[in-house]
Amino acid sequence: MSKVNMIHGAFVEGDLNRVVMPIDLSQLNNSCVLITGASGFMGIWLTELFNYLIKMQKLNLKLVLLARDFTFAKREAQHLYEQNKNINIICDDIRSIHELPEDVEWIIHAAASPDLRVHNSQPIFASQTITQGTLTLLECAARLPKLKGLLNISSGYVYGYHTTKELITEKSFDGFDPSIFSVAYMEAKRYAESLCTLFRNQFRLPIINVRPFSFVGPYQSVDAPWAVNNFINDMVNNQSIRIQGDGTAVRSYMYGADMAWWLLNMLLRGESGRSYNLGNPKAITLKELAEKIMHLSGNEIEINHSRALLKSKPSIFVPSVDLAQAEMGLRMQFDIDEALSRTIQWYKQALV
Amino acid sequence: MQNQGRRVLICDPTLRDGNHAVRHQLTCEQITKYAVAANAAGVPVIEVGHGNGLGASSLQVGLSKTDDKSALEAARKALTTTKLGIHIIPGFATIKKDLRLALDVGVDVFRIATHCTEADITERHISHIRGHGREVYGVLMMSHMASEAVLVEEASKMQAYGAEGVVIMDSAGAYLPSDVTVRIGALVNTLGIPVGFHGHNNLGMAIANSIAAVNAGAVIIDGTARGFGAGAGNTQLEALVAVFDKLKIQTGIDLYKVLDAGDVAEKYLIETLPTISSVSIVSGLSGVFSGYVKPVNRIASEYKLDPRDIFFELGRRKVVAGQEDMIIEVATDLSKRG
Repeated sequence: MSKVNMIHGAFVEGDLNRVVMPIDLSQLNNSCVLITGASGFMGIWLTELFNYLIKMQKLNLKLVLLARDFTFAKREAQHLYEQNKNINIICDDIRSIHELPEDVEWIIHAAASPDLRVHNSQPIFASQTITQGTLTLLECAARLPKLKGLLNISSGYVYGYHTTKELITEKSFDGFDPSIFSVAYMEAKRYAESLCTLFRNQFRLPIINVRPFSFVGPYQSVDAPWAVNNFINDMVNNQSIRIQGDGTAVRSYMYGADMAWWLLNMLLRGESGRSYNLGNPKAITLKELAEKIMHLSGNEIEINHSRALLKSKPSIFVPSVDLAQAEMGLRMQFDIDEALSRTIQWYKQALV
Repeated sequence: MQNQGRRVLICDPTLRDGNHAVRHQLTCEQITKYAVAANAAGVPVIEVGHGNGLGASSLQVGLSKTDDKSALEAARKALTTTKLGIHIIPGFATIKKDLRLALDVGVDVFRIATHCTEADITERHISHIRGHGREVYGVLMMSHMASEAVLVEEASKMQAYGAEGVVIMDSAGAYLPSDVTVRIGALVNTLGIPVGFHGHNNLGMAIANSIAAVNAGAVIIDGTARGFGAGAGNTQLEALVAVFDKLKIQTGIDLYKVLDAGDVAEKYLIETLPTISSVSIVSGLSGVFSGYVKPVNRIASEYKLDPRDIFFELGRRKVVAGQEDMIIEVATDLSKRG
């Protein structure tokens, strides 16, 4: 294992030490958890969390990790996969599976690319992975004898485009025009949720939907096409931070460790049939985000607006997480400053 | 005034599109002369390179007299405030061979271009430049060949890849102002990034089309000195700046000095001032890329054909830039038909 990977393991363990709270994990003991899309940002963080619980809380847990390609995951988190007898890896396309290991009791279905570039370049592939992949998984899940819970990772985009200042609640649905090419991802995610509803109804599967918003942290590819990644990439490369538009777009970011802990709680403690938002309810404009990253860099980095020739259209993507907080008492342990600071530290270590 | 306070970004491809008009024979000395003049005028961005962009020098579309590296370095040395830009068509230009060179030379603005229905092929190039923190724009060429709905879809892809703006090109000079209004309006209403327009003058509409673009919400407009460019030429930069001055649209360009830059271009760069020739008009009417004018004329003469017939047949076959091989095929077919 490389020195960088050992540092990565210790780094993440430090983060998980902060987020893991004393809750009843007995239902997880002696069970098997399947994570689809296990090689992505969310999948790696969940694997880290389960691995942490196996190590620190002496849980007897088998992890089945399903994804098409583990190259990125194995490079970034070698410490997780090397000689880990608790982990079984299945390299396959979610659309192609016919059967799941019959001892699977818990499923976290995170297979889908949130990358806008993929949605635009390979829209049919992106949509099929979500719709056909979810249908295939649900059909397999319906045959599992011991299934206790299935967390369907949907998207905050199922609500449509929001331009008002109110936080997006689990009921804030706006319509969007399905004839527009770029809404295919949202439509696919909505249909996947509908499929979950149908399987919950017809087969009585215990399914919970989670609608994630925006995240930041280790295991995100620094060239991912989101503002926070672009800004951090600019910063770690000592380039000026470039903001598209006038910087008034509003986002919010939850740290990876908080995300993983909240997901586990939703799996174990959420109510079947519910949909929960997942993210940080504290809004920040892209301009403020760039300024924070600039200050955290400790260097004199310039912030450039992309010529500011255009006043940006209102764009607000911030969730209300009142429901999850009220039902499960969840709290975020990393605010935006700490989340950014940890992420920058991670990328700087990776560069070294 | 309605336009008071409105600003547009002028991008000047004289040293790139103009290369079409001189069979890609611009020299480092000519590049330096014009770059100094454009810089003095406060032109925000100039584009430099082979007419079809970086890495395009080839037997098929014409060999450059000056290699890309020398051309870019000559311009780089001459510019202090004006940004150095390049035009790139993936396929001609590769990331390893060409983009790396441009990044090393210090190019500021990258415009990644593709046929108007093929935005998918720009993903890697746009993402690569974004990763290096440079300005990157998407360019949809031959935009008259697609409906506004298709242009919106393709431009949305470029936005998703990280483009900071999208420019549509009227590569064949085929638009009327109403066409521009519809297309630019649709893009402005849909995209969250600046929209631009690059005109050609085949039907004498380049300035009018540029005004229509700005009125529909475009904030990036291309123009070249004396209209030096493919076919009947581009939107004439000096006239464009003057018209925008009159309309109270800010360009940040010094009028007298841009007029001087036009004189420099005429004296040192241009062999024949662009005119709206009969063949150029036919190019515009048939919707065939302006850069076809010279090779069509040459092949028509060789095959003893009327170049206008070749243009209309090329238009019927919906050829795009880079398919110059088709000219001979069309000429052969027309000859057989007698």
